[in-house]
Amino acid sequence: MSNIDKFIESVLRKLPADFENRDRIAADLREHYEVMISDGVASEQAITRLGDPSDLVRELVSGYTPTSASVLERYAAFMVDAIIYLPIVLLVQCPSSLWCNLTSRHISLAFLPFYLFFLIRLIPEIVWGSSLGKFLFGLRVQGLNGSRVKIYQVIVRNVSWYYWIMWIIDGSGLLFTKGKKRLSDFVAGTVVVKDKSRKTPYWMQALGWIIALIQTYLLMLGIRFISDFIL
Amino acid sequence: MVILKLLQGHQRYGYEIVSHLDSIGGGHLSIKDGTLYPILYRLESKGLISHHWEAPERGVPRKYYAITESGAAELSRQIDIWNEFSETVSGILNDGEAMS
Repeated sequence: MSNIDKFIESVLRKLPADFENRDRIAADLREHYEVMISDGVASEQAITRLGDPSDLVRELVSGYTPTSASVLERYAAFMVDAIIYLPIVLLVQCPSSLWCNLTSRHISLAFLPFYLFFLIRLIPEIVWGSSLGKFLFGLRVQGLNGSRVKIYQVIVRNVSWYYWIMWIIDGSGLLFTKGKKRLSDFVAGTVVVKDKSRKTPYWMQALGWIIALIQTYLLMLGIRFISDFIL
Repeated sequence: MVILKLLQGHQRYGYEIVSHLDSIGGGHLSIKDGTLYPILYRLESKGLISHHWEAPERGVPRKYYAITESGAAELSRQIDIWNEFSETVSGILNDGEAMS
């Protein structure tokens, strides 16, 4: 990788995920570098002249405000994440208070969703900023200033998924908050945005939608099952 | 304002703008080359400048920036503000010298 490629990559990597004009920034920096080289400036000196990538990014993002990804895509991404989590929660954790004779097997089952939840949602969000579902839809979690999401922020924004009643309270934020955010996103200082730093193949999104639709159907079946069970 | 002035009557490419700033500003107007582009993006988004690519027969393609009509009007407005400001400050400083 050439010096200018490294420089451009460093700039683009530091930009917020939903930042527009990435191609243009890359083209302009490359043109500037190549003109300097054709003018007899040495490669190392040309890179030095371009400045610190962090300073450039700071200038580029001044006045930037993140744009939340659509609620529908976030819902679909969650449904993909829930491919293992949700049915188990609905069948085991949610009506756990209804189990009269809790055996040790039931207790370990009740904790299973929590472990799966960590595996499916938290770890990928901490490492890559995207869970499996978000990855399929090209979404990413980031700080309000476009910074990489921190471990405590991921935990805070996901803590409500531990119990289903909290989902509803948390999700109510989508109806009345600016930017249509969950309440826990407000508390954590995070936002889910469309990731413009990578192209998401159409087949990946199509796969995501298929899974999300199946999951929605399963969710409705699960709710019906629980309501029948309770009533 | 300075960049708009540099583009008045001349279309220039990015490296040329920075080099010109270096040479005419006596080091006072020097900027890192990379940080020129956020300024150019802001001016362009306000419609004050425009750009086009030119590919010479020899050498690398260059992106030239030119001032627009509204850019020229804005430059004229900013120059008036600057002159008024400069005269006011000069007047205060000269009065101060006379008083001391």
